Amino acid sequence: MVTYTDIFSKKERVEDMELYAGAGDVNEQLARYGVKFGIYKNNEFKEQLFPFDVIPRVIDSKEFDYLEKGLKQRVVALNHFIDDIYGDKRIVKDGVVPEEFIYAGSGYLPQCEGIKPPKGIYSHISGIDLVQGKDGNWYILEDNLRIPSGASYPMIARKISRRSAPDLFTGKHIEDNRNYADLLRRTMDHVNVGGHTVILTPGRYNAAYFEHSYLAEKTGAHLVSGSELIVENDHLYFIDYSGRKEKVGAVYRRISDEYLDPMNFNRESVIGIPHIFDIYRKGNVALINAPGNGVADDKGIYYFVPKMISYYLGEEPILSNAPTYLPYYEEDMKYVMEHFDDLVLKDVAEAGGYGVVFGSKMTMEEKARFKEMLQKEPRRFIAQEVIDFLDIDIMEKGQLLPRKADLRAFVLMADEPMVWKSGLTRFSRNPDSFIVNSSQGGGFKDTWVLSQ
Amino acid sequence: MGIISVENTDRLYWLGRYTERVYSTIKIFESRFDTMIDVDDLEYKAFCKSQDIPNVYESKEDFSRKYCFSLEDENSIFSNLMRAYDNAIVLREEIGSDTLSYIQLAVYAMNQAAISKAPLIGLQKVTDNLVAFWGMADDDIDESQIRNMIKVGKLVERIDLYARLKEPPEKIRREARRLTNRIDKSTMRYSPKTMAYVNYLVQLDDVPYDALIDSVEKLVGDSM
Amino acid sequence: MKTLKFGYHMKLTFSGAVNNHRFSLKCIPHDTDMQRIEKMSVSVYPDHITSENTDSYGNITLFGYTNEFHNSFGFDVTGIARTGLSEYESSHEIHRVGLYRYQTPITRPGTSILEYYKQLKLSDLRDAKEKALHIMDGLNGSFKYGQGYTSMETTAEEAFAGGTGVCQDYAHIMLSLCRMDKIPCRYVTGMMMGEGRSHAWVEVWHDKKWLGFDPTNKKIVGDEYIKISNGRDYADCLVNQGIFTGNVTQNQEINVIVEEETDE
Repeated sequence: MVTYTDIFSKKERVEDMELYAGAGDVNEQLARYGVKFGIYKNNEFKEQLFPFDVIPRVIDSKEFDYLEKGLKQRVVALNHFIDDIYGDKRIVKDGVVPEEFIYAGSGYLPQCEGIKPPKGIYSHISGIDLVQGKDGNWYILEDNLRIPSGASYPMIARKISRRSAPDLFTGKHIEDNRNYADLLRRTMDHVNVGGHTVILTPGRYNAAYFEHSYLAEKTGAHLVSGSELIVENDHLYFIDYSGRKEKVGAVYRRISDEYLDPMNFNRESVIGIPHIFDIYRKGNVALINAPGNGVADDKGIYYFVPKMISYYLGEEPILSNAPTYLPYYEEDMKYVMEHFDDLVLKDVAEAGGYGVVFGSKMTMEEKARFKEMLQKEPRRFIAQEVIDFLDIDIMEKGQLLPRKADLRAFVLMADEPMVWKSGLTRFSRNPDSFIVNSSQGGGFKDTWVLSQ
Repeated sequence: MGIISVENTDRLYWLGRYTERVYSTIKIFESRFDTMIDVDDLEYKAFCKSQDIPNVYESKEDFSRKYCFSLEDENSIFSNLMRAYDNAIVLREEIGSDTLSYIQLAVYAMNQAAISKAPLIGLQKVTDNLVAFWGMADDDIDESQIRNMIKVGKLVERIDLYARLKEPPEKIRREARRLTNRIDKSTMRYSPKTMAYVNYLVQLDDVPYDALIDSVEKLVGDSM
Repeated sequence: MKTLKFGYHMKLTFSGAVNNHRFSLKCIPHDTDMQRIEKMSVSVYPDHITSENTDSYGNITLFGYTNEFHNSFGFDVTGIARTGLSEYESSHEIHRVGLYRYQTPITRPGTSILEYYKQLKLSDLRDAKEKALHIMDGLNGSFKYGQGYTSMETTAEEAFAGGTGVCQDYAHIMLSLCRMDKIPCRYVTGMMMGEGRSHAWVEVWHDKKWLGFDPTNKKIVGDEYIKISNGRDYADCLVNQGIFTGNVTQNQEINVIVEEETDE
């Protein structure tokens, strides 16, 4: 286990880092490039800068090798799982995953039954959230297999940091993370069934619009909105300004399943493309990521991922989940009731840091109410041991302050699984908070993976 | 050239128009402001009239504030800059992050100018960034059509503004010649008949400004 | 066994012209263990760019669009169906039909169905088939047939609480009750001899077979029925679904004819 203290000299740590941060260089540069995310406050769209902290998270090469193996294994197993669920359902038959965790959740889409996506890939881009405990162990917190976002931020931060503080990078042997666009391009090209590759955005008022446009620029894919694409004669076309129809073979869509196609999902959707799902079913376009992946990344299914790894791959899981209890099982319910104060409870239907409560922070009355709800709807919650996070330092007004942080690792699936040698490290700006989501005011750091 | 949608050709054109509008109106405002320092209030009223915008201002001070910086005033320079920004932000892939960053910087500069004690100096930073944007667009954008679409917008706006200000015919003729050279290279949909008519109008000794404004506005896009 | 001649005609009339019309139609009966479709002819009008597909539930789907302005839209499907070839459709093992065991937003029970479910005492019965028969019999006495009381969007609970409805409501209520007992079951849209309109019923999974029950008529589904589509509920079996540009009101006419062919 290394931290930035191991690779920077004391002088660099104190003086250079302060200079680098104090000058505000990087944040100013990020502002220049419009590195923002959008939020809605009182129904009004606002763009906010995503605060960047200059002190990188450092992961040494050995440790990253281990993470890389574990992440690939996990994503490969998850891909098998999705394929199985929309196909033979062996894992249900063999009693490894109870069927209610599949059909009663919102992530399962019956419309996807029987569909084999191009090259059999469902989760092309997976964002796996991890945390490191004080004991040095890494734990998986969450899998994001729908539209994981965030890779663009460390990409551009690295570009800017290297310009702002070249001395800090000198002789440090850091893996270059600006290759994300190449990995993404390779991933998209691998499944393209013939034609252009496009990135489909819901529009500039989407929270991640910066990322959509930045990835389009860097991969050379075309950024499009739903109204620019049309299904005709079983194929998808982009309509050029001269009226020419250009065939599209792969869509990296940054709109959710629900809004993808008003003829097959939410009928009210105006940002989707009518009938795109019908031609996807016929194998005439690749959708990245595949619709229906939600069946594999909800918090209830998370519990079963280590079991999936053993089931599909016949291997022991390399990376562990945070110790998790499923009140659905009587034994676990008993444990949860007895150790309520030591646990964090998560609503399986919620995301983005919402629906998370700590047993120890509830009043007696709240506890009683929550326990009653848990007995009534045991499938709705999971309970986890509170992990003693390893704090990492941030620089604020010339001071080093310890904060909670997680790491979103990106695994891309082309002809082979690839782990991006970096990741998005998000930290909580509030010293008492465990919640690092950008929508709740968190910031981000670059993640340095050492090459030797 | 890569594929590009109708929406985006339209946006490139309007990006050209709005950046030009902001740049030129700042220049015009600066010279009028100078006159207003020691002349009377009436100067800004004439200005509004020439620009075909309603005079909703109470005094010359009120005019200077609102016309430059109010986002509630849809005719303000800032409102026009935000229109340029709205077009630019969705063109990252076409114009590139580096070129786009100058529009972003112009917006930041405008925000600074609005709270500055010396707004004219602040506005200079806005025009600095616009000039840098055009330079960058010329230098950094590979696709000549994309560059030309922005330029066509810019030239149309310039002719429009010059006509509103009743600038001398020779000045307008020069811009019309440049526009004629550009417009085919841009591969945009435009009306050659209207282009010919614009060229005819600017050759007249007594340029009919209103007819010229009307024609040049109709040259490109849906209104043709 | 019967030989049935069928015709399914649908016409939408708009109060003004519409364009940019995209549609998905599930109006074509497909071959099953129980029926074989012959001499079928399908036409959609006005002329459209149309493709064909099979959805996740096995239903034939026509989809396409037209750009031109039009004041009406419709289809005509005619053909011959040989019915009663089997008493059931064979199915997969239970783990493959799990999705049909869970309530949907339309079938989810409320207090009135929950109450009724208790009275039915299904736990006294042996298997899914017996339970389905019991539900069908009970429902026939507890829910009245009547048009105009419910709409396309009415849920099982709303219909049951109201006490009166049409075949769609019978089917949804029966699905809701079966699913409370974890019996896999599905909604079926089809045609029936002498109806004049489309019909809906229920299939219940029992011992790797889908058995048809028609709760509206209290009948086991046999050779008087032609199946068009099936799904978890009505929403999976929409005969016509479309989006178009135009601020208009629309009027739908449906005409279904099913007659036994005698001259053979």
